[in-house]
Amino acid sequence: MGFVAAVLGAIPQALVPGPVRWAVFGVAALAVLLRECGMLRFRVPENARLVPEDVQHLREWGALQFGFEMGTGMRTYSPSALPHLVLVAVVLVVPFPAAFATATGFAAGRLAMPVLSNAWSADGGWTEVWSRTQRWVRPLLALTVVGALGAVMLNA
Amino acid sequence: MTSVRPRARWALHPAITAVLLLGLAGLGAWLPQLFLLAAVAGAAAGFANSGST
Repeated sequence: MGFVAAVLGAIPQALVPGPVRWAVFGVAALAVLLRECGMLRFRVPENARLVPEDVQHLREWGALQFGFEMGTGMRTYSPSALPHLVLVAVVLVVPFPAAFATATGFAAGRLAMPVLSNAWSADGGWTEVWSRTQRWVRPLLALTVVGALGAVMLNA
Repeated sequence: MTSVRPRARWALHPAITAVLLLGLAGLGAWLPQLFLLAAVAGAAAGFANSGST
């Protein structure tokens, strides 16, 4: 997905003037930041279906399919708009080579949750901690994403 | 009697990951290191989707 966005992003990044792309990204970043802080409400596209557990038992590559769908978020809920903002950034402002670093980071971020949860306890206790703290952890993550992407835009 | 050594679970807290990512973003902006910034943005976005799994 990151590769496709990076390739597609080469077109607007080559044809659309920088200030226009920066302005569009800025508006999107502000809207997402306000949404993550709970100050704005709007829906984002999501494939709101959980990955069925039996997918991993389907065929020889079932486990790979399960990991792909779960890891990329292709078939799951999206409680945050930050992945969507990153996708917009890859299309509009992130240089082609850096898009691969973004995709790698996204995969690591997705991986962190099950790793931390399994290390925390076997009873799903980490998810309860996440639920209690997400009220202020989400804005912190949004600030990180918007700040980092803004710095990418300025240094590209 | 066996003594169970308590695990340092504070390091596994989601807030620690969020603060760590913010610190890395600051480092990336200070250096400045484009690939680090791009990777941190992706990681924070991926981690923010934790509630979906």
